[in-house]
Amino acid sequence: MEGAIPPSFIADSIAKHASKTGIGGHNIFLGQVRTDDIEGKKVSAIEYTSNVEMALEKMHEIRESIFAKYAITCMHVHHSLGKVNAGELCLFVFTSSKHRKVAIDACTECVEKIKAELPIWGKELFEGEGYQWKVNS
Amino acid sequence: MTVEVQFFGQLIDKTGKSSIQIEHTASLTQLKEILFSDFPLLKGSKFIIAINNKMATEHSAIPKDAKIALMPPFSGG
Repeated sequence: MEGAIPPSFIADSIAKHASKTGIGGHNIFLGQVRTDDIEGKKVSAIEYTSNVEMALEKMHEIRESIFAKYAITCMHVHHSLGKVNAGELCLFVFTSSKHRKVAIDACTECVEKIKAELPIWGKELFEGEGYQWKVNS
Repeated sequence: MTVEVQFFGQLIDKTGKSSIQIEHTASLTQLKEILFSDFPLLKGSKFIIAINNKMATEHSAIPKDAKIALMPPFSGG
């Protein structure tokens, strides 16, 4: 989605699962833009760009692989594109299952795959001026 | 006959462009030679190449209507 993920969007997403009474556990990962301090320069925002077509295709593959491996009821993923300020949310991964462990493990694996495999790039914008390209650890 | 070459992330800084049209070449090796000569800063950069949205290898053939993407290491999340 364009820009930061609003906390209210996450609350609404949780609320939508009230009718799915077979679910016994949800797990949510939220990525937040951190004010990194790089040689005296503070990161004020990250600007995300993507190879959108390939990212959507890859996300579909990741989704299939997670559903094939884990007995989850549902999974929702949202990643920001464009500018997200420090303190705002840039990634939302939400898995639900009958039991907690499956939901937790599926969510963790999904987040790792998103970071490693999705063609998305973060440009860390410094306060004032300047930027550097984010490197995933 | 030309193909479209797209640059992403920090590669846009190195080329000053997000996409270009260049003459079709049979192999990626030839294509890279042209790109490195037009944009010398690309030479030291890490990237992977996709042809028509599929990851390519050194030996992949380039179709005539190809859309080629040069992508540096991903940094989403």
